[in-house]
Parts: sequence; C-alpha cells; structure tokens
Amino acid sequence: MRWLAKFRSTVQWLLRRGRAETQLDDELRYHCEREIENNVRAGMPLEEAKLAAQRLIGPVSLYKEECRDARGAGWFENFIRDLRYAARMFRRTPVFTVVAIGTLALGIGANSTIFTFVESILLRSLPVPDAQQLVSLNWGPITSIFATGIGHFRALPPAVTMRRT
Amino acid sequence: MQGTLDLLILKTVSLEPMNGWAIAKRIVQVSNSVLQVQQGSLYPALHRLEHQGWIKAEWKDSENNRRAKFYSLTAAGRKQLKSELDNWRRLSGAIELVTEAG
Repeated sequence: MRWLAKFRSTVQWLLRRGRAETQLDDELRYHCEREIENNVRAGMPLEEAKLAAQRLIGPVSLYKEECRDARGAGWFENFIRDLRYAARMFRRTPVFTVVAIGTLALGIGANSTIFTFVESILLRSLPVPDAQQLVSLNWGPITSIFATGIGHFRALPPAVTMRRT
Repeated sequence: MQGTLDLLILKTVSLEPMNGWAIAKRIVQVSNSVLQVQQGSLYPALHRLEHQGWIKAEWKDSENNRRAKFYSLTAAGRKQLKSELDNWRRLSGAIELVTEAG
C-alpha cells in the first residue's frame, strides 16, 4: 500500500499548498540563517556573512522546485502555470480566441442537440410496459392483400402478426 | 550518488530527530569534512524520503530557540535503512575486493 501513502502525501501537500509552501520557505530560511550565524561566529561582518551564505547555498527557488517534485506535486504547479500561460496567450489574440471558442461552442451544441434527438427517438424505450408488443396501426388507401376497405393492420417487427377476425 | 545520500540521511536521523541544517553539519563532521552535503541536494532528498514514508517531520524549537523542522525515522524507514546498509556493505566490499586484488 506504499503508493496509497504516497498518493495521500501528494494530495495533502496540494490541499494545504499555501501552508506547505510557507513551511518550505521557513525550512530553507532557517538553514540560511544558521549558515549566516556560523559565519558571524567565525568572525565575518554581517553583510559579508550573508553574501557568503548565499554563495554557499545557491539558487533556493530551484531547490523549492525540486522539493515540490519530490512530493509528486510538481506536475500540479506546472499545470497551473500552463493554464495561466494559455490564458495570457488567449488574451493577446482575441480574434483567434473568439473564433476558436465559437467553433467549439457550435460543434458541441450541434452534437448534443442531435444526440438528444436521436436518443429520444431511437434509444430510449417507450414509456409503456412490454413495449416490444406495441403495434402500429395505419389507416390508408387499399394497398395490401389484407385490405378490406376499412384499413389494414401491420405488425411491427418480428413475429407479431395481427389478423382480422 | 543519490542512493548514498539517502543512506547517509537515514543513518543520521536514526540517532535522534534532527533538522536539515544539523543533518548537513553532522555528516560533514562525522566524515571529517570528506563528505559535503549541499543544501540543493539535501532538502529535495529530505522531502523525497518523507514522501516515501521513511522519515517524518515535526516542527519543534531548535537549539537556538527558533522553530525548525525536525526529521525522525519511521518504522518503514528503519527497515529501509537496514536494507540500504546491507546493500552498501555488499557493494563497498565488492569494490574493495576488486581494487585490492593483487
């Protein structure tokens, strides 16, 4: 069940993303401060100690990125970033956006209309018991050998045949 | 080597709960400064190990009275440490055999 525990860990990280990020900041800052303290204790002036610590530690934002990845949460951050990027791009090309959205809207609309129609006519069974025994009655001109002048019966598929009595 | 850093971290936090800074310092100290642990590989490794469920974290006051994140070994971590230690001993023993062969 390790994957389940991992999955839970990822979800927890994502759900409490704000707090998780703050804690990650705190954790890394703590390290940085201890490093500066160490340098000061070794006799460096404060400014120099800060610079030296920064030089030693390196690009913190990259580490944060890697910590997120380690949580399996990196994809989510990337996904959000991609969404933002897409939104920005759409804003920059309004004509294209309107055409694209219009095309999609029409396509989806037409499809669902047709499906609703087909569904109600062909797919959904009739709202009566034993719908397969239903028979259609046609009244019309004399064309059939059973014709009597009054009209004729014709059975809907398969074997149900109605005869005049 | 990534696997080796995991082993070093697991071993270090198995002694007592420790924060990241202390872990790094301790590894440097115990190895007589031969092993240097960069922050850039330490923290991603800590988060990966916590994600795996081998260590767990807790916020506590540190020795200088600031809040710090302390990591300690879990039961699963203890098992993992044992298997990684066995692995490492086998590997280093094998390398020694080859390099010392006259």
